[in-house]
Amino acid sequence: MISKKFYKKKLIYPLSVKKNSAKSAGREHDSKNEDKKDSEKKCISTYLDRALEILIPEGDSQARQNNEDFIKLSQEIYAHNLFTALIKNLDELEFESRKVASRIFKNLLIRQIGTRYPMVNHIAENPEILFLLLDGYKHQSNSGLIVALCGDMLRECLTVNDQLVKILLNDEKRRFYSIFEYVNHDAFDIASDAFRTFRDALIHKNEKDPQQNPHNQIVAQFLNDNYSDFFEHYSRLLRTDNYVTIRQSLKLLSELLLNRENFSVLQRYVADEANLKEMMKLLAHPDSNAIKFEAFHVFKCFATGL
Amino acid sequence: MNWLIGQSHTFPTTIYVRANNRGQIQISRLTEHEKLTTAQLKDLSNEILLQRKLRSTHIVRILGSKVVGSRICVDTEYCQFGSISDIISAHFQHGLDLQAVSLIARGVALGLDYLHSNEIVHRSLRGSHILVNSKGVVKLSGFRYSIDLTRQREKKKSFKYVYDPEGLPWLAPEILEQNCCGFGLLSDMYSFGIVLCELLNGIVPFSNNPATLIMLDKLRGRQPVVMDKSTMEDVENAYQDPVYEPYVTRKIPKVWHLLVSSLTTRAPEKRLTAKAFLRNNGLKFTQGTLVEKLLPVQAMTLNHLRNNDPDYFPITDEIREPSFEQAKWIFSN
Repeated sequence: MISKKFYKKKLIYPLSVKKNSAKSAGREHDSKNEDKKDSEKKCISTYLDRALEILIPEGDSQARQNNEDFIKLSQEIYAHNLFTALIKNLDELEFESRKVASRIFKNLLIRQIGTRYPMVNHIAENPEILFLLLDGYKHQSNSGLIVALCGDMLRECLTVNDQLVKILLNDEKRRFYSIFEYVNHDAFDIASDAFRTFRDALIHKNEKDPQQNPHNQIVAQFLNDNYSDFFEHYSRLLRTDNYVTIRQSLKLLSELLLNRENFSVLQRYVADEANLKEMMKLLAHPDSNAIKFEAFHVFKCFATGL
Repeated sequence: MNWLIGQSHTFPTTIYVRANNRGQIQISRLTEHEKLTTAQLKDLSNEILLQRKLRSTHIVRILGSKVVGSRICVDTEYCQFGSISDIISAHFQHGLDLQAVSLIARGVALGLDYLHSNEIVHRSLRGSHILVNSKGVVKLSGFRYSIDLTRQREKKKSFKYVYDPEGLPWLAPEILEQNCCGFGLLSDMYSFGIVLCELLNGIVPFSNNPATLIMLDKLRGRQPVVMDKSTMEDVENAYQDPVYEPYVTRKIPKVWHLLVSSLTTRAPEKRLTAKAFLRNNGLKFTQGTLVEKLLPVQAMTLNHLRNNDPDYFPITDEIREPSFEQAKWIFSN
């Protein structure tokens, strides 16, 4: 009897809570009253903590009971499209609860029911979430926390399911290309975070079965379809005066070209004289041995590819 | 003005103190990008990406990072006392005062508790990564090898073993073992136990042994001890050897012995957690600040730097002015 009561309370509480937080997260933006804002922030923080507790229970005894709560909670989240609101207003949350929000996101993402990933389907229906995460790189205040969290969430999306990679790459508005800006950002932390995302989007190592790699096949298809656009953007990276950008993009380029799925891309790349010229310039880079070294690994593709 | 205050042994990094354009004093760590291997570059970016997710009074804050020519510059807040291993080597060769130790231990435990509540393993907690600022606040740094366990999918264990010869005495046996059980948050508590020994004895346990012997000792479950009258009885010639003199005459309360032994247990699940340490450890946290307890060691203030006081400034003759002209600094308050 007691347990039933407890269960009910526990269930109803988080559900209404989530709705509220969705509402107030949306409302927060125009709330001008500072005090009210603060108390709302606190409210959302406790709601989020509560939600995290349901998703990741401490200890095993409660795990079964929480399972039903969990399903209800996640359904509510999907139904109210909570993450769109949360990610949009991430900078309005309290410092620690931003991290809680991202943990809820990551935890839901890897939940599997049979062969189905409910969260992946949810994102696929609301691709806006992916691009909101990508826009996270625009936030530069708050010691880069938002960048870090959005980067984390986006990378998790890209590694968990190929479907999301497809959505991100084949966007009609070509929003993916904005990552080229972030990769070459002035601040080292933002640039290297963006670079990791960039890399995770383009290269996936499938350790279980190296023969089958649908992720890389999607990328190969994308590179084939958008060859001139993509490599025009890419060669701009190689011509910057940011030392780290050049080194990292050369490394990624050699890995990308040597992926077995990208063979036709490699052939197109080495057939272009301009690319050879560019590599030879980098091979003779005046200041850096590291850049020369990385450039060699791209250069060798020309030697073997022709 | 910039002052060179240190150089890393393992990384091509030089550390400067400088005043930023708002007049605040901060640390700039310049790393020669050219000399970094790809793996090291990854470690460096890992450190920055992880550290900026943390905000606590007991964690050193990153203020900004920037590529300057061929160097990567990372700005952090400045801790005037330096690390606790600096403090020990400056004056406390035979260990710190018990009150100072308990204050430092509390600060470290608070920092660890914050990290662990974020499910981050520090992984290289040691004396040189624990800093003290001019107000006596203890702060953790050195997140190069830290691991975010929330990315490990439910298991709460990590299997990322990195070669780090310098940190060997502090590493927990399960990290050295490198087996399929992995290591978790409680590995930090082992390192914390070693740090306590370092603070109390003034020397790092295991530190004079060759690497393989350290590993064997730890795997066999040999635990470090706090050196005092009771523990030195077992050591041969302890009373004749002048090296041991300061230890055989002192008496350290039993609670410290118990703490160290429960922190450095071989089995991780039997160790105290940071929370448990803070809640109930039998230590009395004394009134008064750490700054008083650390005397005669003083904070390295701007005046010391200006006067190039050799006591506070061991590498004066190597000072070079790094060129900051190209840099447009990005500071997030």
